[in-house]
Amino acid sequence: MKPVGAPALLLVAATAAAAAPPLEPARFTLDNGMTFLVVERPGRPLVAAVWVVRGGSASDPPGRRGLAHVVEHLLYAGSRTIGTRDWEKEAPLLRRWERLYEQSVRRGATVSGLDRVERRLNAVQRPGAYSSIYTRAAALGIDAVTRHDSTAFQTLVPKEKLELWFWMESDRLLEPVFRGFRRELAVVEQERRQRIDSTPAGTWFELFDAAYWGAGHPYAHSPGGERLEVARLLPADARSHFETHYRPDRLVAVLVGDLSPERARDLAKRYFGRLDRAGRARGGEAGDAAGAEKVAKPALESLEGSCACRSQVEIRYPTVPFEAGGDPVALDVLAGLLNSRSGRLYRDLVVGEGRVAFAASAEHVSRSLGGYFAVRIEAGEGVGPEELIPAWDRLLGRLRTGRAGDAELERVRRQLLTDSWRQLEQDAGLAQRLAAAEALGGWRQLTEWLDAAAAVSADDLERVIDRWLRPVDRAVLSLTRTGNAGP
Amino acid sequence: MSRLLALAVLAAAAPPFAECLPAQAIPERPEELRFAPSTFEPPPVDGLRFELRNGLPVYVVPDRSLPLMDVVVALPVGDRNEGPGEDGLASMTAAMARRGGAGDLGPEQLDDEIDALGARIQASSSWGRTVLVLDSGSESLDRGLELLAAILFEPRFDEERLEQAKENLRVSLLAEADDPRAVLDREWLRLVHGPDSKRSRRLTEASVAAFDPGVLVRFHRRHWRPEGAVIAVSGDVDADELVARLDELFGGWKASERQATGGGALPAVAAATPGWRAIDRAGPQAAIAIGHRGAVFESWDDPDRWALMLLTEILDGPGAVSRLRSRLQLEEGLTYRVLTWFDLDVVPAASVSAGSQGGGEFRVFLETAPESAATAAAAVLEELRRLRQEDVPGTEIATARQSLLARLPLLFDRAETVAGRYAEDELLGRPHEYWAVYRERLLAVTAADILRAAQRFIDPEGVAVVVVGDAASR
Repeated sequence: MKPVGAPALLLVAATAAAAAPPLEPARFTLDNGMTFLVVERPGRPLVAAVWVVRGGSASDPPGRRGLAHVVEHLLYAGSRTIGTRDWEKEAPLLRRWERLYEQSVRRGATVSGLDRVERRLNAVQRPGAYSSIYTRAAALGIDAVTRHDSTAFQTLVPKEKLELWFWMESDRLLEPVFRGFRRELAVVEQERRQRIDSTPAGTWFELFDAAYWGAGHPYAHSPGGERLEVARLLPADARSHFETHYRPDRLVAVLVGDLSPERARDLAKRYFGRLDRAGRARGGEAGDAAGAEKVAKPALESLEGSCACRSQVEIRYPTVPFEAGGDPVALDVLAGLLNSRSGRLYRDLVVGEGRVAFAASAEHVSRSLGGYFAVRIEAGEGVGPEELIPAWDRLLGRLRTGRAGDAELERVRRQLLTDSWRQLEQDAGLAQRLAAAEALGGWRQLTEWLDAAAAVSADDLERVIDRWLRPVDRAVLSLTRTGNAGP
Repeated sequence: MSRLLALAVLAAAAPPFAECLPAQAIPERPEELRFAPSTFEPPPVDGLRFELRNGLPVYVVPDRSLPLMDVVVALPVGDRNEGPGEDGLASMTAAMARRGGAGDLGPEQLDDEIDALGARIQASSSWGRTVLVLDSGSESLDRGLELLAAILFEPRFDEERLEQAKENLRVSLLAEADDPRAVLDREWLRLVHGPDSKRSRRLTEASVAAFDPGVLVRFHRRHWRPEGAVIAVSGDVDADELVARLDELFGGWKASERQATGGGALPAVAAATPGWRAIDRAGPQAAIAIGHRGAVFESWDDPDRWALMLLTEILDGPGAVSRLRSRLQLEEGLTYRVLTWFDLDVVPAASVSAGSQGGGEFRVFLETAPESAATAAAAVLEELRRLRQEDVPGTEIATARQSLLARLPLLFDRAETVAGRYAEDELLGRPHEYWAVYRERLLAVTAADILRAAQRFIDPEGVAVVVVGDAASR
């Protein structure tokens, strides 16, 4: 990559041994509000292309949990051009199918004619056409992910065929057609079963999240949503979500690879300049779920269950929303102090005399509406979950009374710094990170965060431990192994 | 403003020539876009290979854009080298070499040193290889290399850490018994390779109990040797300086006589015990594995091998156009994901080992609702039979070929992958030439080649089908 950048941003505080990574993407915004970041890396055969929409499962309306994820799937069904053999013939059939489908969902039974219209539609539609055009053009890694605060769509395109990405992505944003609705709901259901229901503790984690955030909180449901609510979704819901959220001023695209910012800007204007800011607004103002109440105290104190899994606990303390400085960053550094083989969790709980754990880790999760500090401990041989909490409490007690040493802090800083370089190595990962950061407050947060992390002191750690890791505020999930009978 | 002045202002503000061209029209369909042909060729291997004084090959690909380094030491040793009663020993030896201290350093000191450098060192083992990976900032490289060498040559296999690891393995074994995917894996491999094959043997309580420092030391002494090993280095480094340093640390590693593995015939593909087996397990999803043994070739350039690569792509490439994905996901909505794996091992005739150990597996894995399990499995078998009965249409072959060629740049997209790929060539005995002819060979494969390869290497009547799921819903 090209070592460019403003020197002021390249240096971390003097305590860190080396400079923060050079990162200065070209940034431009189209007249319709869509933002682009471009990182030029000569010699790369593929361009990593990502676009992100500000809005994920946290913006699912009540009663329609899972909507954002379903829309993510439907966006692969094509447009008026892609995915159909004859749009003129398909359009009236699709309208009829949607009317009949809506009646069926409302009545709870398939109304007559639905299956017949669906068969006629099948004859005129081309499922998989969107991906197959990319595959034939040697594009790779076509995938999407719905998170709580954003939804991302990614592709790796051969640099010679970059214009195809502009064509395809602007086309589905311009006039998407949500075909194959019923089939896609079935696939979403399979995905849910595979990711959550089929993992031993999956449903417990989901319940814990719901209970922790409390009913009605935007983060209380997973991006996959609620099965019964997903099954009742209608094509009109999907269109309304799309029109509300997929507006150009809520979109960020990132390109990393062998292309110049000038060429990117030219193509962006020509293709994405077609998206109309006003036209999308008819779906109503996008709510960023910003009014949601901050969690000061979890909605429950403890949840106990059993599953065919290792006995384990998760201890969760409410903290603050994401910010590239202050307490959120100090909490990230605290997680670093606890993690890794020379970290406190491994040394105190996983190895040594008083070991109780098979594995243990800490994480500070901070999203735009709230955050929490989580400690997860899986029980070692012959240890019950009830022994894990006191072990953590003892460790926390030692953290409160004994300050972090200089060598310990230096170790964490160096690991964070080296990790930040590693994150620049892979084009696709860098594109994802830049896009998510830009959509949720500006890409510079990535370097600001690192500067702030390098400046965190032992005093800062003491302060955040006292302020946020208070036993009275925490919530605990505790799972006991049952063996393979299953829950 | 006078007209003349206005023109002058416009001219001064005018963007470069290219941007003055009238905006190009957007074509109606993406197929109308015209592109320059792809120029990607795997980078030349010339100048990347060095040799230490003991003959150990080193591939170095410098990339000075970030202050990072990756060093991989790969040995041709793995599960396949485990003897009777030693199941899991290769992986345990690798794991404990990293965790159990090395040289002068006890386990804690070793971890402290690695973490203080901001580096990572990992050691792991699979069927046929053991790899040690150092990943660090370039300023920490020198100390990082010393630690890596200590782990490779002087692992301490600390007894207490080994006991803890054994406890954890026992916990893992219990969890495995609960996990439908792990249950499926064990049972399917047993049917495919037979209960006594090394390929189907997995860690057990008994093999865990047999691990002690002496056993690990012996395995390490016997198998962690320089013969067939290779080093790959990429990142912020001067190649000559680095090779000189590597020579100090690794050049004295002495080769010794290695026992040759016994010869034998290439195995047939049919499963050792073909047939269906259902394992009752409550849960919302049924997990299914279908397939038989993989293929073994004597040459990397066997025409059937190229044909089978295309065939696997046609059956289940990562693009949306593959047969299994089109049918099971896009048309019938039965599954979220299908995964197909076809091992196309190359083992020179002289060293094909006895029994079925040479070949891996041909496996289709999917999960579906328990009530759809039979339908989904039948659909997979139908697709396998179709491959043996009909020519694959040219358009499908073209798409599969394009999809395979599309992934070629990914195999060489960074210094790390270039160094790793060429080092792997040497580890596997794959000629570097393989990459130069890759495109040409795939272009030469015809429908008749694919049909012939399917008839030779796919045996729908010889498959083992295992379903783990809720019997009540089936």
